[in-house]
Amino acid sequence: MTTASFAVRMLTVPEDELTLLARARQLDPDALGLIHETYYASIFRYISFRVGDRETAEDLTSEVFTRLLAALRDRRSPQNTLRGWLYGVAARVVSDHHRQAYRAPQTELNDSLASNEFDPAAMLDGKLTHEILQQALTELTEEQRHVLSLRFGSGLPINEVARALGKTEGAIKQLQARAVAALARKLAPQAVE
Amino acid sequence: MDAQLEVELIECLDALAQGQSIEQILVRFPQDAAQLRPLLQTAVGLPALRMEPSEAVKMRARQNFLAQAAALRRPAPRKSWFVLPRFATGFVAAGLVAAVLSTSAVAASGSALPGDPLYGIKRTVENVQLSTSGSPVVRDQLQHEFEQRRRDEANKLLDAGRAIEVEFTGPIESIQPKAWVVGGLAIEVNANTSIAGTPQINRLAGIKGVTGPSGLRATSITIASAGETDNTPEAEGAATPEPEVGTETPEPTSTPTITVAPTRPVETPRPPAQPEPTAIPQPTATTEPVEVEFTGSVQAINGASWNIDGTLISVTANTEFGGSINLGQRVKVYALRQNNGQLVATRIELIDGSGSGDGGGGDQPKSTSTPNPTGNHNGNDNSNGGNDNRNDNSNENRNGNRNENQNRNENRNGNENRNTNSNTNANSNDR
Repeated sequence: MTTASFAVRMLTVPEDELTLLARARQLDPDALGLIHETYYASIFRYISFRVGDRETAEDLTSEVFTRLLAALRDRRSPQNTLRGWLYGVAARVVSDHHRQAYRAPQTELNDSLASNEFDPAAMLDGKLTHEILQQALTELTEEQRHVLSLRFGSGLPINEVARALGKTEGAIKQLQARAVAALARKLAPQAVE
Repeated sequence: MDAQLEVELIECLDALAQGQSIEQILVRFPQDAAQLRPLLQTAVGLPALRMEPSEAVKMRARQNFLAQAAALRRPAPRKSWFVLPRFATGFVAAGLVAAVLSTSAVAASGSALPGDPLYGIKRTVENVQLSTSGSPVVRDQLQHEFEQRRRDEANKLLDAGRAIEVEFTGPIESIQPKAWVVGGLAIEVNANTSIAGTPQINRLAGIKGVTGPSGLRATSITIASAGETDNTPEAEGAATPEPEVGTETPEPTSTPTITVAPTRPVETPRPPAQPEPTAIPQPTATTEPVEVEFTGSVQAINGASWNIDGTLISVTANTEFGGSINLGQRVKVYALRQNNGQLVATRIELIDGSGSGDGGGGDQPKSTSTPNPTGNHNGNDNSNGGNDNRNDNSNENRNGNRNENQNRNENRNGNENRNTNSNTNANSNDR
């Protein structure tokens, strides 16, 4: 499990990421394999958090890595933070997907959101459907969605989110708090003033 | 949310992240507990949205990713403009097929257009199909099908008015100063369009451009040299496996290598410097053509090719005519014999007293057939002596390429009416 242990180490030592990036620019297969191993699951969680469908999440996650290769080929690759770059691309891939789905909706949009019967406590009982929550997410700002997806989708700690977005930890905490409050308001306007 | 509540919420979310329960946390904020509770409940419910990837899917995705990278690593072959990069072994390709074809995205990606998230998958699938197709024939068919797809995609993007970069290949069908037609698609060509190769009708051209509500604007056009009409330029460099061995056509040694010259500005597309050869190749400069003259009867007039007692001669815009010449009449031909043996008539004279003349007349006004100033020659004749013969000819040359001709012969007495037209278009575009 050397790969896994290196991957864990990489999450906390940015220098390793720079070295990895340099090797990736040479299309070094070991480096690319390591990048995939390190980030695939995290990117998948991020995307599945936002799209709510496993197959779509699999496809879009692959698309993120395909775009990484294209960027390396065209020398548009990330210079410093691979992590931030990958999550940025993931956000764009999801946006593109939603734009396309909006153009050709496959299902009726659910308009039961923010109904007066909604009870946030139901979330703890697992009664809140993914669909409602996901739809509420679409009503947040892109930045709020991005932060919530990184924190609660990918499960990144505050300091990792800050690094990925190039912001301070304080700024991320504030963004997160406002995003959670905004989401709660969307879900139950009468419960949250 | 006021500032105080925001500070408290930040603190609560920190505590939540450290594993404390909602009840444990709210105890510290009794005054605002009622407001904070639904916010914390929302936060606690959020991780339920995420899914874990299955190990199998992750493995397949990794194989696919590394195979794409391997294809990128391979140095582009000499004819990379036309030939997709090569897969090292069938094993990798087979692995890719297994990986790619097993994902559900394949079906969904079928209708994806450039710029769509699934478009990369669509192209990958195509490349895998190409690299694993057994015979060159199948590969060619696929290649053509994929070329058509690129053009269809561009069409759909145009229909939708989307601004997306596209690449496709097709034969040049029309060349106008600012608008070409390539593979059935009208493209706008401007001063910023880089053009590599010699623009000629029917040659294969690789187009890079941007679609938009106002049409398809070409950023670069790469024209294949003569003979390279069956191959396809590579549309996208990324992850494009090359067909297996045996597909490369030998490159003619005299053919210059075609490269895209992205920086060369071209004011207007260059029309062919020489007229497109119609049926009459011009003499080459290597050996002087030999002058010949002979006499004979006109056996057939088939466009620019005349048969004089079994000898075929070519009639061009420069051929002079001595009199109105009909089938069956005896003529004297002055011609230049080319290196390839072809006879190009410089002058054809009617020999006095000859002619089929079975109508008994022979005094009817004869239609003249002098080459018109635009280089179009039109000759009509009526072999029914003595009959009323009306002939309307209209030659119109609109841009040096197109020639329209209308002929009408009217025969009022039921005699046989024969009408022959010869149009020759030899225009040089010296604009």
